[in-house]
Amino acid sequence: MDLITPIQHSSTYQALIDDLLLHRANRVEFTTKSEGNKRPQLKKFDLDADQDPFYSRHKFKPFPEAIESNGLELQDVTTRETAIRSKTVAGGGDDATAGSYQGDSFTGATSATDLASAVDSLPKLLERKKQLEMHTSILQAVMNEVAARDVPQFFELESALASGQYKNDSAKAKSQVMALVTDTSKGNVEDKIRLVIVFCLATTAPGSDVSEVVQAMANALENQGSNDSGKAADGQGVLSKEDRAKLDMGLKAIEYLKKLRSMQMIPTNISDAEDYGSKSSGNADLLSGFMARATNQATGLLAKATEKVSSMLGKIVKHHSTRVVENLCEMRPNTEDDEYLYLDPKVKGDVDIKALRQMTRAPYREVITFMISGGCYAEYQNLQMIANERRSVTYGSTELLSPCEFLSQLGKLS
Amino acid sequence: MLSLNNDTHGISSSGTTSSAAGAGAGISSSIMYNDTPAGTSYNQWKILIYDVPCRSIISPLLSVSQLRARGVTLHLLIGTEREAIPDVPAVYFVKPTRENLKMIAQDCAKRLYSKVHINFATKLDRSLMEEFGKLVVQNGCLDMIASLHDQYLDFVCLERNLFSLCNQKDSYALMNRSGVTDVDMDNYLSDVAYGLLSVVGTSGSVPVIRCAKVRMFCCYCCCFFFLSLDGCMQSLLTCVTMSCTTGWSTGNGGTKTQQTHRRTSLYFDQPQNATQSSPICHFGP
Repeated sequence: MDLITPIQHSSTYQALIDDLLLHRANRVEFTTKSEGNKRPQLKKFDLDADQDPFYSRHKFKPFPEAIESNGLELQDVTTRETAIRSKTVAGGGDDATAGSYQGDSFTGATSATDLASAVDSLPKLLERKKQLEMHTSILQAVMNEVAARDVPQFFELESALASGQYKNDSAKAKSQVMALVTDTSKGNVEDKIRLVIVFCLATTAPGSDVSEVVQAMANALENQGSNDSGKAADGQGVLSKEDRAKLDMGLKAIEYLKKLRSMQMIPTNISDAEDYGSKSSGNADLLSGFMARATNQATGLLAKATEKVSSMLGKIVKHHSTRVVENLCEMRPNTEDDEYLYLDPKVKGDVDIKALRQMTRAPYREVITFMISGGCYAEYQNLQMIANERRSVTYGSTELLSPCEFLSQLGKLS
Repeated sequence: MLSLNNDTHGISSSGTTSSAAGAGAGISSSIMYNDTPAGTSYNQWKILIYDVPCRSIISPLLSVSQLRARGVTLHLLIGTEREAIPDVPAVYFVKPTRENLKMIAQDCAKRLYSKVHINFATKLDRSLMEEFGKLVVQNGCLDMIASLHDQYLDFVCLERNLFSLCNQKDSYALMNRSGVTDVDMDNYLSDVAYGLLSVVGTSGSVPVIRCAKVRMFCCYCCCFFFLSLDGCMQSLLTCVTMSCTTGWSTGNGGTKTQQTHRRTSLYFDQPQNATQSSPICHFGP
């Protein structure tokens, strides 16, 4: 039972869109920041992960990579477009009609075919440019949220907690969490609550420690307000009504989870982090490569990204459900494959599991993973790590929840 | 569903192995597409009428232009005031509820459209079917109804490998609250089972089900759900082999019984904790 995955901050493009912006049924909505005289505008986009090549390639990539690729592809498309447009202008100057036998008749004929193919490809190119520009504005909106709320710091700390890095040092974990939740310039109310929940579920910190952290957070918020609440006239930050409601709900959620934990209904999710594919040296290369490219390019978005989000280029660990599905698919002994029920609708009556284990079973080519009572994009993305050419993994749930929605449901439960 | 004649110029699922691609293609093939341009006699203009849950099923899959390519000139919500367009057929895609059936019967009585093709997102209950039949016969408009299908498309397919059921909101909070009753759980789980049946059916292959066997407390919930799904699928398998016409739409737009050369595995998990208070009362030590 993995309650950490739906709550954690994430680092991949699609999961961030779902977490930070208004995202429902493949439609994303956000308000652009007002700059100068421009009023903030409400923008709505429909995302199609299957038809949009940029989105399907980058939805599971870490956010900085998505920004970088977007910049590069847009540059490439713009260059090609200007080349075609200049060709069409030049083509008008040349006598490009077929059959004009002048001194360079051969060149005249080739430029006509070039022109024709260029003009044919122009609409597609413009379509692609429009899609890339849509992603640029979405990336910008996500970047604004990420920068305002310092999401990478929360992400980093939560990943460290969830992957067991603080297994033997819970005092250090507590102090780090305490430092971040009492810092009023970082994160909004929900970010802090989510960090505390991950701290509570992922470590063996005693209930008293958790309560201490919660109290410190609540005090800091009450006294100084959150980073996005307005300052009152006397210079002290004041918690707005919405933030207060969120804080109350968050506190209830934490109480509920503490209760569950004390009844030992949730196993503390410490396991050796098994990272997929990337080794630590590979990551260092990736990061330095990214920094180098960023310093060469002048785009504002990328420069801002390097500053804030380079910590999101880290290893991605397999979540609980990914590990279980992998064990089941590969039929590993002494794992969930032995414990899980085996129900086969094509066979009437009971299946003899012992006999089944002796037989060689054909490998599963298609897996449908279904979450009852709430799934999330982060889990979907994590599961795709074990999909390959021979095995496709489909993910579904009764409802797809963003972390804040899941948090509000937890808050209704104490 | 949108080609009103029965020939199968459907969109095939283009040989992809993912089941939700089959699902996406399933809904497209149930809104079958002809290669001939819309407006010709093969693919005549039609009106699509849906209710709110079915709108959320269609909208991630087909845009307005794609609907137009399939011959749909106008798409309307069933609950809105609609004018008569007597020379155009209407395709309904709704959930099989009493209110929807009443509205369809009223539309038929008023003869708003030329012919009516009704498609339900899930199975129509026998009692509702009989009520509907009575209403239609009483109004004398039986000739209006050209076809009636159960489409088993009760899920929202967001991407090739991602789907969600259009079930109740706040399900985690509702199912884990302290006052939850057995009846609530049973209803919820049977809704989920039917939704999954649609998914599995549209993907066209019969999966093996693996699920956690949580020792003491969750047996009731788990086993009920999985066995009911198992039971649903067994009975549906029997129906299909007997060629019962329930409008079973497969992702490949072809054979009804799929011999699974590729085994599918359906794996369940629940983020909810194992304590539901009622099972504790029944099964506690």
